[in-house]
Amino acid sequence: MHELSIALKLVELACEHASSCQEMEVAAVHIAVGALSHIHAPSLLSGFAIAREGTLVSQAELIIRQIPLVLGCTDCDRDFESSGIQDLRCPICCGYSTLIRHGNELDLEFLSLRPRRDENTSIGSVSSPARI
Amino acid sequence: MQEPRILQVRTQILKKNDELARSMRVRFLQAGVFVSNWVSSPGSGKTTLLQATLTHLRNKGERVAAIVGDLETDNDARRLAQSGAPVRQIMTHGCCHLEANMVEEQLHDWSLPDLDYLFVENVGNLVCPTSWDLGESLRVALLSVTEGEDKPLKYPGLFNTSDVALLTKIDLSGPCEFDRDRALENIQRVRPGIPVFELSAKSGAGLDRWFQFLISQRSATMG
Repeated sequence: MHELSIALKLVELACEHASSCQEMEVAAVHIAVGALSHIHAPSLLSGFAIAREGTLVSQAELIIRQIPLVLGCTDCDRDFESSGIQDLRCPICCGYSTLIRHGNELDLEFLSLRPRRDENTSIGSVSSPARI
Repeated sequence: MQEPRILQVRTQILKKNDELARSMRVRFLQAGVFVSNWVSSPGSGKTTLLQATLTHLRNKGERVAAIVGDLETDNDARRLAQSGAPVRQIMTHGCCHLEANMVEEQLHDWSLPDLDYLFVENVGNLVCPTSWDLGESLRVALLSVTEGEDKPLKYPGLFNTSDVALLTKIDLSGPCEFDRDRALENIQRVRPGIPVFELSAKSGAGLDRWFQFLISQRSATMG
């Protein structure tokens, strides 16, 4: 599954940034996942639990902020949130002149750091799609 | 309790792959080699169509090469090599998709300025290749009539991230009771405006239009 590949790259990137932290450990890795990134969040959580072992982020939770697909119709000059990713037509004019405003994100946004403590077994969570 | 400290990162997770892919794209353009990345499910006819494409272009005097990705075996590379073009096989031994560094490793002793076209046949997989930029100028999605007209809706990512869609094995449309109109509509729904070519590598139907498109795409890209 490619979520494991993604998780490995995420852990690698997070560790690069965490390496400069001295007395702190990474409590959480916060990422943004757009609807069009085609990432299955539960699989990514599972992959992260595997990928984080033995690394600088081994104690970290993965916090996923889901971003909905927002399209803009260049004919109607309006933006709209799409309910799914299967139909990229404008819901108003049914035309195909749409652009993707949000939804392609697959970003490491920030790391939450805390003083080092005992082992934490929590994997993480997924938040509801953010309203833009 | 001490407040957690926040370390801002704001970086794309696949940044390394994307940066490498971008540098490869520049390298390809500077060398004048037009690179395409072929994605589809296993069994869509990628290799057979690629073989016909390599043969046609070679007969026109174009300098072509191919890189093929599979989990195991070099069967596809052997088939494609019958065209006379240089072909390399990537055996991923379990990885379900190609990444930019895998392709780059295959280029080490090829003189890119001596190539006009480089074809990358991705691992047969409708899901995972979507996220990985390989530095291509054209991403080609293949859908065979044997897979059904619903496939684009079931796997929107593959089509949504592609630049052209090929409907393959059209000579089998009748026996498969393939709903052509529905399939074309579904492809447009998930990727508005994508050009679509209907063809059969076996019968030869539609191949000329596909070859002309490919040649025109190279011209447009190289300027």
